[in-house]
Amino acid sequence: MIKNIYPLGDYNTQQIREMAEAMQDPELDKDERTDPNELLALRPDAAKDPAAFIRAIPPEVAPFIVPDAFAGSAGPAMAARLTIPQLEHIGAGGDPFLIEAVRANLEIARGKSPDNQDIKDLLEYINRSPAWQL
Amino acid sequence: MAALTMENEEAKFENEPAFDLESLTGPQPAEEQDWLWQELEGRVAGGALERTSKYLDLPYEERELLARAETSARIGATAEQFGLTPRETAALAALVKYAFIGEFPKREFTVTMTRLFGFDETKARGITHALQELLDKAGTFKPLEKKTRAAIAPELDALPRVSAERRETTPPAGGTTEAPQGSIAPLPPQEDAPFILHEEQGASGGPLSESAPDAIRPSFSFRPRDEQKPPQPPKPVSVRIETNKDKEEDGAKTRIVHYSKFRTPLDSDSSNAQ
Repeated sequence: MIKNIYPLGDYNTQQIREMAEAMQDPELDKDERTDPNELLALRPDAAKDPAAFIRAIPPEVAPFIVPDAFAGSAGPAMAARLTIPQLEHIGAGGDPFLIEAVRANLEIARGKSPDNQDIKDLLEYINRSPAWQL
Repeated sequence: MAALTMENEEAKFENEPAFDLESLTGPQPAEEQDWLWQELEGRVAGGALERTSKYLDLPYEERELLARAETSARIGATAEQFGLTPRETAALAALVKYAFIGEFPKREFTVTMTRLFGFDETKARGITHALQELLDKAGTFKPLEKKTRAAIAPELDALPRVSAERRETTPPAGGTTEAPQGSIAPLPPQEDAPFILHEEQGASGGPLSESAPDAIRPSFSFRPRDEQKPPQPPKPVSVRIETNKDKEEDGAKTRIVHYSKFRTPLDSDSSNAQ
């Protein structure tokens, strides 16, 4: 299955949360601890506030977001909080599954909030960008 | 006694709670994730993966150009100028991408647009003209060409090369290291042959031969470079003993030993002169 190319895509949101907590286990040595944000940047759905967290992901890291992050109920809200620079990097990255995951969730978000100008701007960019066409 | 102990152990396991199987399993994707991937695999169908592969072969600068907000805005402005629908606008953006990845020659952009959209030629030419500056950038960002060793450093290329195999078996200069096992074949004992500490082996395992130009040559050689001049033996040191026959007084003889280079007079008072 194609989704197997995303190792973190095999875990559900709760498992990712537990991984992030384990990375900061006080019993680990200081040099063994890892910043959980490095994990959450790939699976922002496991953050405490996914919509706020995804907006803070650096644009150059955005192409590495695992599509499974948009699978849950927080997917549309997260997609709606993406920024144009993040979408530019995702488009340049060329991952077709991430591109379609974002597009699908933005379409759902527009259905929920048809007057939201931010969502309109994001969809307008995606619709007119050659990088976002498959 | 042992049987009773065994029975107690088995009873102990029977009373223990069952393992929590879920805690022992690995990844457990949620049902929503499976739904998402069913949707994604439906969306990314047909030749999308092939076109993605071609897109990823583009230099990053071209991909970055196609993803820029300014590029999206230009296509949007062109679409509005010529009254394209949102669906036609997305198709026009896709056509621009296809021109970049070489799905068709970019000089055929107008013809392709006419064929796919059903536009008249005037409209198609107008759209092409509006996007010409963008289309002209297709293929301008070329990946770095791989340069050969000779192109980068011709003086290095002229030096004889040592193969990786020889590099592994040749011990480093300086210091003592154990020779790798089996790297140096023992030579058969030969009479009246010069004592050779180590004989260079060729790639085939045999001794090196200078007559084979393709043989692997080390950077040094025990054999003389010029075979026309036979090796000359070193000049022996001439020794001449001079005795003072005229002055044989008191039985003492003065002997002077001349070497070809050095003059070492012996002490006449020395008792070792005998």
